[in-house]
Amino acid sequence: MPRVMKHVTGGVDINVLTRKEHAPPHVHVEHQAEGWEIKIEFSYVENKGSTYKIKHLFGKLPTQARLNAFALAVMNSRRECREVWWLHVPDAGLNNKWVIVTNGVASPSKQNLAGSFLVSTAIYEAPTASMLFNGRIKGTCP
Amino acid sequence: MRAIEFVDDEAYANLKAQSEINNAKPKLFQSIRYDEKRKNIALSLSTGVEIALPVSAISELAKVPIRSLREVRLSVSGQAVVVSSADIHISTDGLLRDFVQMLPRELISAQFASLGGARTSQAKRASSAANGKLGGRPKKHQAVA
Repeated sequence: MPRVMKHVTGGVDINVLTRKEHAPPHVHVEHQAEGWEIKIEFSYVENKGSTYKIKHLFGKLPTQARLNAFALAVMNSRRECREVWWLHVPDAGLNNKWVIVTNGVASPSKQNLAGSFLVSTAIYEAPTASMLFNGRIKGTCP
Repeated sequence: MRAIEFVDDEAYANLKAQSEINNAKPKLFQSIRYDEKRKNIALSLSTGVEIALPVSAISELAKVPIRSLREVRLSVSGQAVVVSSADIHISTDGLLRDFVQMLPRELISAQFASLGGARTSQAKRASSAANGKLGGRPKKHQAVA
């Protein structure tokens, strides 16, 4: 169940770990034969290139082009990543963060921007790929 | 259309530097094996300690067939307990913490206090010196014969 993608590109597995994982939401990317493991962060309210931060865990770092390919794979399957993460770690990492919902779509914001609100609860609704903030504000995940 | 660049040259150089630091550190979790006789998974730490965890107490593994349990391995970083054929990827850290919670509370509290007491810092040194200037630890009362 926690596996998001298997053998995405040349023997790489992408998984969400179960038990006490913590925000920010992330997947573990491992190549057993090549002996390396990294993690890639993702967000429920953002979908820019810089959202998908890569952290090295162990082994020889893959080439820049391969890292970009893995991040793209995570970006393209972000809906599945969010769903699997929420199933095992029901924490989107948005508590005490400022968010805004514009034209029905949620995005990160700042305190002094009109329409922004501070998140106290954020619940992911997988069937509609959206978040319910503070029990009343709904925003689609980009 | 220009492809999205997730990792630019600067980020890649930073990752490369971080990888050298990470690879130089010893891995806390070294290996794992399934002990069929005792129905445990035995987790070896870099400290030389081996911890046996009963499979029946690990919800993710409790119903996994023995032939799959025989394949149990640690992920490359040691951060995950993996049974690939059963699609199981458990955080090693999280698993151990759950087991630590099963230990008697007094034992955990005592160890926590001991770690805190053994910790040294500039702030603790300064506070200790300031308290010393006030006269130091009060003398114990002499028992009256």
